Amino acid sequence: MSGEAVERTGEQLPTPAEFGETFARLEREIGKVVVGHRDALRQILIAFFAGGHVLIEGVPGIGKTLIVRSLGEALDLAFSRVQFTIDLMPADITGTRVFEENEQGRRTMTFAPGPLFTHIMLADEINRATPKTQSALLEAMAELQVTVAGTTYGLKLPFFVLATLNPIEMEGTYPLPEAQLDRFLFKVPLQYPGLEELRSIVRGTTGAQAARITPVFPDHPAERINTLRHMVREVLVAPQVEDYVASLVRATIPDVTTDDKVKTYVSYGASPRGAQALILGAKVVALLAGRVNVSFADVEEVAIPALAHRVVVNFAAQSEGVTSRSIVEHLLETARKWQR
Amino acid sequence: MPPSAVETPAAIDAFAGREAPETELSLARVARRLNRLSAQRALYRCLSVALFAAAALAACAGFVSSGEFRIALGAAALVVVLVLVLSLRALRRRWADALTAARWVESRIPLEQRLLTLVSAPSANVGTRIWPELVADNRTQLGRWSGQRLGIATVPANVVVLLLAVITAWLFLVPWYDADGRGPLEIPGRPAPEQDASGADGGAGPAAAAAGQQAGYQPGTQGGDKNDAAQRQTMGAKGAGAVGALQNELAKNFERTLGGNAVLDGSSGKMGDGAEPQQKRGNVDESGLGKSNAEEGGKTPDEQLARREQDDGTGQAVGHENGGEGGAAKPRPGVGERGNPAEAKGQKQAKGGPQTGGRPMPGGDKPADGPLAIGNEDGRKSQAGGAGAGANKATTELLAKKPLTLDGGRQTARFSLTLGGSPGKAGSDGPKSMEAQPTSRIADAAGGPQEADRAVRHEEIPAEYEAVVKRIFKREP
Repeated sequence: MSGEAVERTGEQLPTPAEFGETFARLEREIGKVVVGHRDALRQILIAFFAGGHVLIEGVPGIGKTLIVRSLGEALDLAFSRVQFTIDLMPADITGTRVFEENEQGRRTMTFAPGPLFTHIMLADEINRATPKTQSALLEAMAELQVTVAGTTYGLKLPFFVLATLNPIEMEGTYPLPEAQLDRFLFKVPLQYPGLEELRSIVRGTTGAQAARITPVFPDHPAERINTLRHMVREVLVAPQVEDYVASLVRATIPDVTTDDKVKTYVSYGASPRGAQALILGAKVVALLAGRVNVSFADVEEVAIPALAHRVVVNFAAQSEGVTSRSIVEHLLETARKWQR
Repeated sequence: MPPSAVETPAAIDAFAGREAPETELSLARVARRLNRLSAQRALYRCLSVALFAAAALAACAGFVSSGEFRIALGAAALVVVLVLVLSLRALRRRWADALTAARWVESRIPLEQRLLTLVSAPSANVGTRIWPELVADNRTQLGRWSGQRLGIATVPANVVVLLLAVITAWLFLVPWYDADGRGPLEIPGRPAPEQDASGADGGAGPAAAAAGQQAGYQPGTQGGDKNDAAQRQTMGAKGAGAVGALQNELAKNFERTLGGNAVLDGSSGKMGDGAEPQQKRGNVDESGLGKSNAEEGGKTPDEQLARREQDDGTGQAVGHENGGEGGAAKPRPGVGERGNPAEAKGQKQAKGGPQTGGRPMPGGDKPADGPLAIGNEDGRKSQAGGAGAGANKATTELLAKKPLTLDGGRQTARFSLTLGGSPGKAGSDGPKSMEAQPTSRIADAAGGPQEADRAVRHEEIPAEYEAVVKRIFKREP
């Protein structure tokens, strides 16, 4: 990208270079605490600036909560954490109306906001809560508002939910239905750290001095982040790239695709939200690359976290070890031939 | 479905209003190159097909009949027109606009869809705050592709096909083969320029030798006969030249009396006719006559000519060596109809009308078929002479037992009668139409030897031939 200044009218819009610099600073600050997981961290940040939510899947103790907390500290945004359990009620996360007595002794019903009213929320082990509670959270994620006792309350922006899934100890859990999985922009798996990363974790967390995170935005972080998010929305997409995304998403649908592998192993394909996730994620990637236009490569970079959890494989795939990730990878390989 | 197959309503042809003049200029240059290449490709394709078709037509012209040739010509024209139409359609379909040029550039230089976005983004995006960033970005990237050819060939690959077509057409259409002084497809008998020149210089020997070579050229195609050719060559220039002159005079005589041409040469008439050596033909004098230059006329016999011949039998008929006058022979119409054997005595009306390509009968005891036998060997008046317009009739009654060569060798003669005018008009116009020359291709082919004979027309007749000439051309028996 040319670094030259471009005159703009109205609100001062950061350049792609400034966007990339902010993004890199965030990665550096979080990386002071979170060892490893660089790809996962990048995907989480992409989803954050794209305005979506992220579902993190990983075994316990792998750093999921640390990532979210570090993100909140680096952005200097309000952060809350909710441990989802089977007895968690919707009001526990959305808030409820309570009696409140004023100075004159009059009692009135006032709304006590729940942990949803924050900028960054960690929904830990979301699959352990009941579907009723899950749906309350997912409504807030999709509509950025909650309704309590007939009154709708808007959430603070930016609003970012990081939900975690524990792939083990599945007894007594309520797996997220596909419709609710679809609400997450990305699903990011967290892997076990490598040897060097584990050594760094041990060294950094057992010493006398813990690493401190410096906020990236010294003042008005929410406004700055919203400006960056707005900039993401303005990134240009060529019609050919849009066609590519649409074709890719439709290729995951077994009823309309011509791909034999999809027809054989996929029960349900990606929804239009999948296409939105691809475009929004690709826009962030484009800005990180210093461009104001989306390329095919940008789409491919975010295809797996955006589509893998939206493609539901059937029993034949599970029995043969075919995962939704491999399906998407296969489609990407086919899509590269289309481009040529 | 591949993205390219998806119709994009936002695909914009016009580049105007994109606020990127530098990129627009460079992109227009790429589009021009692409379009020029497409136009060249279409042009070369059409030219190649046309040249191949012309060469194929030229190749088959010597082997097919006129009707078949017309069919081939129509088919070739159809193919050429079809290729032309398809090429124009392909050219229109591939005509590059700004978007096509941008795609081409993106496929050659990895611009990460910068240029594609600049060209094809919806016009609503042009006024956004981020649009100047895209324009500036493309201006920065301009140096990567603006000065390059981007794999656009200067000349399309099918120029090789065009070269092949040109070479093929040159081989078949241009008289390049000069081994015997004529092109490969030139009609045998047509003199080469060198031959004409030598004949014009008065060199009897070379001209006659050339005439002999002509007769032997391409044996088995249109009257060539290797043996005859060899024989002609061994006759020597002197004798052949004299015979040529004699032939010329004879032709003039025929033209004066019959409106036709008499060609005397050693060629036999049809393919394979001369395969048998002259010595094996026995004593039967025959002239193997193949396709006559009067072939066209043979299809529609000029009865007026026959009547004229009959009427003029008293004094204007050809006087032959034994004085046989032309009789009232009536030609029998029919193309390809084989004439009956000529009456050797010539006392009856000769049967057989104009015949096209009648098979000669070499080596037989009987005279070969022919339009008529003029005169008889006894020198009596014959009623057999006439205006047989066809060929392939035995003319031995005229020349057989009176050798035309001084060295005692026997000389066969071929008489071909050219009836003037078109076949359809021959009967109505009569003698007036005889002034016109036949226009058919076969007649032109037969006209070759006649033209060749003009070269030796001015040759001096050797003294020893004088007696022979006088005897032949005298009117009285």
